Amino acid sequence: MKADFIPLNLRGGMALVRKSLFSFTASRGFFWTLAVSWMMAPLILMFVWVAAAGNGTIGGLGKSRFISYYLCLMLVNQLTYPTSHWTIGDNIRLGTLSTWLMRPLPIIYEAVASDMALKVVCMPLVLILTAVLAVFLGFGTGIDPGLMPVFIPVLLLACVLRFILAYTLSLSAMWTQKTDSLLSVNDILVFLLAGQAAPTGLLPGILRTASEYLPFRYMLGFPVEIVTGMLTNRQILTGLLVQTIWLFGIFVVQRSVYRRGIKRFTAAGG
Amino acid sequence: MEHSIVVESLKKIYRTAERDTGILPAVKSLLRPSFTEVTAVDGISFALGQGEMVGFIGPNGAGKTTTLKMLSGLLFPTSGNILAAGFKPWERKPSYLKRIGFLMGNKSQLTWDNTIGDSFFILKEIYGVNDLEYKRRLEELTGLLELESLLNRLARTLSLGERARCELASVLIHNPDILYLDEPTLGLDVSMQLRLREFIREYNRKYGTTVIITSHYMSDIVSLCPRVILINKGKLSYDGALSGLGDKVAPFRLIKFRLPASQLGGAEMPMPEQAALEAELIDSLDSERTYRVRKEHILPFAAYLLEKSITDLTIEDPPMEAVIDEVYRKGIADMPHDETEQVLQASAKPDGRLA
Repeated sequence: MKADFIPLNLRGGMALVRKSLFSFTASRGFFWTLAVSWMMAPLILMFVWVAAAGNGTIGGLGKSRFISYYLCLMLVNQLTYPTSHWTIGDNIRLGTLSTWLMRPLPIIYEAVASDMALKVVCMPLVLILTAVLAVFLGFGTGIDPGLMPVFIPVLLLACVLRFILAYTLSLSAMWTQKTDSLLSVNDILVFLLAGQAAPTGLLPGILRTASEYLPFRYMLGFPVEIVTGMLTNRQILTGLLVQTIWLFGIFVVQRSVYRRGIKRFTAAGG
Repeated sequence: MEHSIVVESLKKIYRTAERDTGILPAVKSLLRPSFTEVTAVDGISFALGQGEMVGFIGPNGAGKTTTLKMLSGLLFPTSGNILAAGFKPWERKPSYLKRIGFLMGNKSQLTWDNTIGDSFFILKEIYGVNDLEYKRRLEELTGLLELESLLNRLARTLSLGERARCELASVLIHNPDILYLDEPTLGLDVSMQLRLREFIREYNRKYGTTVIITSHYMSDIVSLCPRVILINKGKLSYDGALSGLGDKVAPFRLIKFRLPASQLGGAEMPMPEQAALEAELIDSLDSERTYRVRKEHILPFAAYLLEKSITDLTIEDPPMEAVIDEVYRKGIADMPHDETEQVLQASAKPDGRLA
């Protein structure tokens, strides 16, 4: 299976974004509800930490820092959270993948296009809601525009990292048919170690160490920590290095899983 | 003739899980799953010329769809060779995928929540069809398949017949050189079947597209395919003209006639050495009789009948459905594959490998 040298098909990719966009727009109510539900966990956790901090600080973070952190996290979470991996398994199991395989472009295009389209559909609502929350709750700490040149590329890398890991896990449906439980484990680890349950700096002992070395923090918490000014330059550089290594490593694994998975799928029939 | 598709000793073996029924075997299979091998396609060979239209026929589970999937690149063959439009399909090179169209009877190319026009446009972009060519093709397909009123409708709102026409158009947007049609008229009413058949025939004639059709509707095959390939239990049972299949499998004719009035109500007219002529009475209604008679016995049988003052004597070929039924039930014994072998030899390289 020589899928390695397939040239980019940007026209096809953009057409798939358009296709998904039209589909999602037709069901926008459903997706907006989803987007709001994804904001709930950070919002609740923000209130928990704000209440816990009271008028003092926890790990150096006061009430206003927690509000800033979680409002940023809400946005970054929406931008980095992929959803296509939840449906790829179904497409493999139900044989829809056959239709994708008949097209002259790799199946990852479908997944990328679906996620891009979903962000276009959901982000306006998420931005409005976050802005309203920021006004009502008082956005505590200003964001340093000087950090944007670092934040934006790290955010993009976080998007790719979170997507590529979830996508790779979803490809395991080529062997297991059902991937929901595996994807749920991934989501739980993101919740715990990526800075949702708590900023990773507040995690205790081994969890904190794990969050520094595992990929999950670099999918979500790391860009938030950068933009809210929680990291030193050295910490940013170290984080960027770990993020890049994970991205490269998972990308290599994804290529291998894809090749083997397609070979298995085309051996067994769709 | 230039070959569009050459298939040589193609084989596909599936490995499938199996276990006995009951709780204990179910638990046991968790610890030690057992598998069995199913040979879906068993060493078939054939070659198709550019622009040929061929019917793949065979009973359910014969290996037709599996063969089509291997030809399209969706399945990796266990062994054997395929060369389609100069490509090995299982490599799934975009340049090959752009040259084929595969209409899968139970899978849709259309996007449920998109309009038909949008679905076509997306396929146009994916296949890199330029705007001018797309406009021309859309006009042509819209005209031939009467899609004008459907372009602005969502795929999920279409009836079965409307969707079938749109599905067919969707695999033709990029003007493929080879078209694989797996049950293209499945579930359609007679009128819609006729229209789709007419379209496929016209399309094949106009563009010289190589077409392989599988269908359980014999009318599709009879009206479209001068050549049929019969697959049964994974093996190629017949490859040749449709008319030849009848001669091969059912070397008999149907003799119909009316009894003279004097015979009605009395004892049945005795037939001459009926057993020797292997004539079999298969239908009897009022004064009408239908006998099935081997071809070589037609003349003596007819001569005898004419002496007995019968009327309205006709000699007919058996219906194709009956022939196919015969094939599916009994198979074809010792079918020579001479034609296929000759074609394969002609297309082979000097070292014996396929070109």
